[in-house]
Amino acid sequence: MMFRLGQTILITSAGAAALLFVTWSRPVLAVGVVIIAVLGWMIAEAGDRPTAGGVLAVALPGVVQAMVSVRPWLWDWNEWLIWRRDYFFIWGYKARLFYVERGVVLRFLATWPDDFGHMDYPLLVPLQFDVVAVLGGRFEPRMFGPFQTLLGIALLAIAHQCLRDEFTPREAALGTLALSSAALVPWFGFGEPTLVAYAASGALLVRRVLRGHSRSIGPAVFFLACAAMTKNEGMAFFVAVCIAAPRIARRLWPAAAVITAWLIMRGVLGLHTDVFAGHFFARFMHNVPLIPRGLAFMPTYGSLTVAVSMIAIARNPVVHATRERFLLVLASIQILFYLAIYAGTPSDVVSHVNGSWDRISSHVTMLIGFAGLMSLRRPVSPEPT
Amino acid sequence: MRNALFAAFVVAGILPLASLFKAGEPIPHSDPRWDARHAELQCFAKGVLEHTESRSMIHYVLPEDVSDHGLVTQRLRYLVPGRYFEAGAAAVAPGQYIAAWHEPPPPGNVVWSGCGGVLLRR
Repeated sequence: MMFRLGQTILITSAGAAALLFVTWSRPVLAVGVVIIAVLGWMIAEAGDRPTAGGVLAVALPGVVQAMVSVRPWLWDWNEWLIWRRDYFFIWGYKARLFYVERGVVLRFLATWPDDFGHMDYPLLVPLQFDVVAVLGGRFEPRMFGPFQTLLGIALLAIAHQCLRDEFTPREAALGTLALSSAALVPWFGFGEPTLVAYAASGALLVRRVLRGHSRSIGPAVFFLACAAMTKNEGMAFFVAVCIAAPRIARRLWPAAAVITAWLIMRGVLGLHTDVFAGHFFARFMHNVPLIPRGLAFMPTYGSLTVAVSMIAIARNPVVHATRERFLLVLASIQILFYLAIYAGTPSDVVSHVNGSWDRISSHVTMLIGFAGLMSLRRPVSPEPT
Repeated sequence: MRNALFAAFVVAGILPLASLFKAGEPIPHSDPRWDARHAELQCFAKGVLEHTESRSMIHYVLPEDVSDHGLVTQRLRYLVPGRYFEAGAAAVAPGQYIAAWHEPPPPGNVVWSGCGGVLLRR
């Protein structure tokens, strides 16, 4: 039930955001959300009956995170905190714009210059904030924190089922707790909590498909498409999934179709990204030697989890790395993409790395942590071929 | 070894969440001297939102100390969405707005004033 609920939360949140292309009426949206939730529940795959430990491992970290996410200074415009800029300049700005205009005014966004607003980003995050605002009756940013926490909880519920597939219930509960900070990332109001929730859910379900659970393919494709509609990094994530899982890449075509449609619309509207503009190759050669300097003093998110995972895998590297090659290759490709983007950035590369590495490294913490945990399993049944 | 690694995983997973609740951690406010000033600017911006139309062009004139290295444009966008902002009032076309806050207002018809500023229209 918990597995199903997690999928339903993610499906409903995305479906409700899409409804805003049709209506901004509160009652109509509320009815639409209920209908999508019921449909989502029916589409979602059922899992094992949750144990008390499993429920606690999913819910407790979520409650902690939700309490942290509503601290007023996080959302106060009067606090000009540098590290809160992305909410006010990108995600919150677009959400507030659409809310005030009662419409998705993409043509207006296209008239803005390339600046800190990232007008080229897809719109799932701001539209989800708007669903919260419309249903709540007013634009109250503090509610976005608990909402994004809910998405993280949904990811934890999905991760818990994936652990239950191969661990005892008690170990699955402990493993879920171990993955809590990988699912519940602390950048409230940014794209990261949403991206991590959808991308990691999609990846874990693709892994499940690769291990014989063919019913997981539907939600996996849907969540990967949603991740791609969160940030440009989500589109890169989809490409990385296709490379890491070539055997099922063709079955992911609906997500590719969604991405293609968005890229066409983005091109038509002129919402261009600045990374590939101008003299990309010259920038690449200039920036590459500077990247290590940017990384030198920046912590990697969940570095302790990553370190423990590496130790766990190193106990029998050939067996464990081979078995979890999908997640490990996926994480590696995604990190390579990020390093390539740093190399091509038109901004000062050291500042770019300093301002984003801890955040974007959180995109793969769940994948590495899960792979590490899996290397602790005791084989109880023959491996699927 | 396996149990120790499992325990290490759990600790590694919980620590980042626990660290969000550091006892006695001061709230990382910006300089408190700015709170009241920013609050007044926010109040003024809300008035500008209420007294301008969507897609209108607003030239803003603000003291240098709130320019935030030029990023005040992005900050104002959040409070006054759907409008265009331009720093300075050197090239104001007819029909466009000028929002002057704690600065001498340039010539124009007063549309609204309050919260330390005045909104004008050429």
